[in-house]
Amino acid sequence: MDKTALFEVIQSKTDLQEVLNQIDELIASLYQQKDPKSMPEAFVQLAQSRKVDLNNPEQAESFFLGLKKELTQIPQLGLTLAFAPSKEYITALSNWVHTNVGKNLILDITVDESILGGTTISFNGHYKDLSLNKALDEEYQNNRELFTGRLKAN
Amino acid sequence: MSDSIFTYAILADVFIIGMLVMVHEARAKISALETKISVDETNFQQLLKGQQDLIIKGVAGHLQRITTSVLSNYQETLAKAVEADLSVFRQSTAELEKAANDEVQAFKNTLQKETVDTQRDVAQKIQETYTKAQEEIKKYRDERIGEIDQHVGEVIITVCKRVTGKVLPLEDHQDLVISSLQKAKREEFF
Repeated sequence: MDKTALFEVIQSKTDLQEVLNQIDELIASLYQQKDPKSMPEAFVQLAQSRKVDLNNPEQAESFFLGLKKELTQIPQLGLTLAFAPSKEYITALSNWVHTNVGKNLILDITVDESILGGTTISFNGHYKDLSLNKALDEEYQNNRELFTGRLKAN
Repeated sequence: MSDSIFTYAILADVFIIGMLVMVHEARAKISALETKISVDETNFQQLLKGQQDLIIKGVAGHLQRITTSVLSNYQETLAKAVEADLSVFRQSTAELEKAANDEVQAFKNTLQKETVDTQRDVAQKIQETYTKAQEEIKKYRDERIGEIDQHVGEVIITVCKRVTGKVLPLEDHQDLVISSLQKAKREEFF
C-alpha cells in the first residue's frame, strides 16, 4: 500500500483524525513490546513499501512521526452539507474530488442544516457558497419587486 | 218872671216828661226792637240756616255738577288720552313689532347666512380632514404594505427554506451537492 492507497483510506478529516489517533497509540505502544501484527494493515504495507522495520522502535517512531506530519499537511477541501452523509456518500464525494479536482485531498465535512441543501466549499483560503439557502435568498432578492407589486395592486 | 220860670219849669217838666216819654217810648221801641231783633235773629238764624242749607245744597249741587262735569271731562279727556296713548301704543307696538320682525328677519338672515357659512366651513373642514385622513391612511397603508411586503417576503422565503430543506429526498440532497461541486469546477473554483 503506497501513499495514495493510504489516502484512499483517509477520505475525510474524521478519518484523518482517527488515523492520527491510531498513530499516536502506535507510537505510544512501540516500546511496550506489542505484537506488530496488531498494527493496521495499511500502515504495515506503507512501512514495507518504504522499507521501514516496524519491529525497530526507533525506525517505527520515525516512520510514524514522518507519516503524521505528511498526513497533517494534506490539503483539505471543506464542504458544508445540509445532511449527515453516510460513509458510502463520503466515499462517492471523495472519488468525485479525486477524479475531478485531481489532487489528493481530504474532505473536511461539516453538517449544517441551515444551508438547506447544496454545499459550501472552502479550498486554499477561498470560499464559495453553492447552498440552496443562498440560492433561495438570491431568488427572493431578484423577485422582491414582483411580490411588492402584486401586493400594492391588491 | 215867675211865670217864665214856671213856664220854663213847666216847660222843663214838660220837656222832661216829654223826654221821659220819649225815653220810655224809645225804651219800648228798643225793647220792641230787641224783641224784634231777637225774633229777627231767630228768624235770621233760621233764615241763615235755611240760606246756609240752600247755599250748601246749591254749592253741593254746583260742586256735584262741577265734579260731574270735571269728572266727565276728566273721563273724556282720560279716554281721549288713553285712546291717544293707545293709538300711540298701537302705533308704537306696530312699529316695535315691525322693528322686532325686521330684527328677527335680519337675525334669521344672519343666522341663515352664518349657518350656511358655518355649514360650508364645517363641510370644507370635514373635507380637508377627510382628505388629510385619506392621505395619512394611504401613507400608513403604503408603509404597512411595505413592511408587510418585507415580512411576507421574509415569511415566504423562511417557509420555503424550512420546507425545502425537509422535503428534499436524500438522493436529491446528494445530487445537489455533486451538482454544486460540478458548478464550482465549471467556474474554475478548483
